[in-house]
Amino acid sequence: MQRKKEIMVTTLRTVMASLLLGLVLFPFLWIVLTSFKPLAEAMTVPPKVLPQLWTVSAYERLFGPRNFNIYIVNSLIVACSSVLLSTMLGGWTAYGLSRFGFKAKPHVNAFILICLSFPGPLLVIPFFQLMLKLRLFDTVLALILAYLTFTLPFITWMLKAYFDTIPRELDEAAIIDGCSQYAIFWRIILPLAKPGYVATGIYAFLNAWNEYMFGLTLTSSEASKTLPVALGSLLGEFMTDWSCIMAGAVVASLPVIVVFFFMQKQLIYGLTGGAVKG
Amino acid sequence: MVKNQVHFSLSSPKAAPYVFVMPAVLILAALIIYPTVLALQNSLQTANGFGFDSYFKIFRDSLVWQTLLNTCIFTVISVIGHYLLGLAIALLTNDRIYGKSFFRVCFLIPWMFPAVVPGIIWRWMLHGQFGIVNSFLQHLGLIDSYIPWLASPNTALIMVILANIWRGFPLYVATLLAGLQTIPRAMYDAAEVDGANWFSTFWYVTLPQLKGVSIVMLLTDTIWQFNNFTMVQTMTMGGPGHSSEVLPTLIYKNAFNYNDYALASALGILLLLVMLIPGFIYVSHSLKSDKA
Repeated sequence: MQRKKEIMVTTLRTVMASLLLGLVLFPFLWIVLTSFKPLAEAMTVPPKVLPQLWTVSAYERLFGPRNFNIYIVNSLIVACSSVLLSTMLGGWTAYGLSRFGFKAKPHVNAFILICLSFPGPLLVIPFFQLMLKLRLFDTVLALILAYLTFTLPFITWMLKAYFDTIPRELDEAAIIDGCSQYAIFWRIILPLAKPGYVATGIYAFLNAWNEYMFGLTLTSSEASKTLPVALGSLLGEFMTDWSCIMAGAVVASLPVIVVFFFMQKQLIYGLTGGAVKG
Repeated sequence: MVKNQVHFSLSSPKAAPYVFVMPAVLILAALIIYPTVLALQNSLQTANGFGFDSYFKIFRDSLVWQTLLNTCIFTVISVIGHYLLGLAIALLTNDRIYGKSFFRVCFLIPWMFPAVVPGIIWRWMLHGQFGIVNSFLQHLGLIDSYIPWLASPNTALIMVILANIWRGFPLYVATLLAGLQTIPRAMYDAAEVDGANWFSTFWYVTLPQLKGVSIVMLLTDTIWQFNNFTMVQTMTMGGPGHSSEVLPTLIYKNAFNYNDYALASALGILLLLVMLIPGFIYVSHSLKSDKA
């Protein structure tokens, strides 16, 4: 009896979860379907669920006249560079915050946290003016610098939390062996913290890949526009090519979702590592 | 000893922490503090020198107050929606369910999208003519004629908020699930022995145990949603009229459409001031739990 009831409850929960999941994922299914419709068919009233005529013409427009390959490359350059810089710098700083007691430490901690929660919309205007002045406006370098404002404090704080979990006995043993603090960082902490680096790195990469506001305000030409900005600009056109936008949305999302499925364990650590501790 | 003093060396124990900490601190100061000072300076710029003109202007402007109210509505409803939906799904997928890890992973998908994509998706689904939502609701007999959800001042803001809830709840699923897994099994066994029903177990065991995670998430999310530019910009650009305007989009408009950097910067400083409250709580809370 008990067993039967348990199976019932489990089945019921599974059905509920499936329904919810269907609801949650339907929008994604819908853009995928629209992206395979010819433009005229996307704009019929009422909309048909399945394409009557499957076509990849929207994707051809995207990679042909719309030049989306350039934006993908731009996005990759910006996201990879800012994340690499942030992991190098952030890891170095995180080690200092995790392993030493020093006078200014509470202030540095507070400073990193303030940076982590700083309002981006406030920074957009001075960044725009600065980049014009430095002649960096509309370059990928401007975006790399701008993205450091959120990737660097994030990675520093997350890696500090990760380093805190590595036992200090290892450091102490190394000091007895005559290692300097710098050698300890390179030879002991860095190799041990690889999973932490990967988790925070991927998470920061996704944030950079997804960023829109700085990208929108600091770029203007094809040479530096990122994928989200290019997608957004399709929306503003007089005659909106909805199938093409949907194809763009699919193209922008797919790599992220693929990365996510392969690295979900690390990524979920990146998502939850900071929050659960509190 | 003497040798150490002669070259104040980078390997001296006193210097080492600063060698580690300084690079990031300096870079962040250059990237965040310096621009903030510039913004402050901008906001005080007037036609004839320096003054508080921009601030007087924004405080007398009813649009700014409307926008501030919209921003608060957007933030509060989004955060509450994120939390409730996230908690419900976390509880649902935490135990006794087939395909547990499948569900856990798939529910996170909306959060993976590049920030413009949710805006694009929902703009398309809510389209007044070709949108699937209208056609669906009509099939169900809930509406007689198609509603231009995003082009009508009565519904624009609420639709943006709903789309924003769809995008943001997965992060709560992940963090609350992680939190649920730290609750000792023994506590539930004890509750069962005491004959507690589902609700009181949830209320007296689960919720209190999730307090730590919840506080951090709610604070961080409040800060994020206050700064959320992308969702509104991609769905309505603050319109129609200013019915879905939030501070970040108003800042953008003033700076990049009207080229009024002084006013936009003053709005930016206003945003910073509003954010000081959740920001201060967030920083002090994180510092406290960091020590513990």
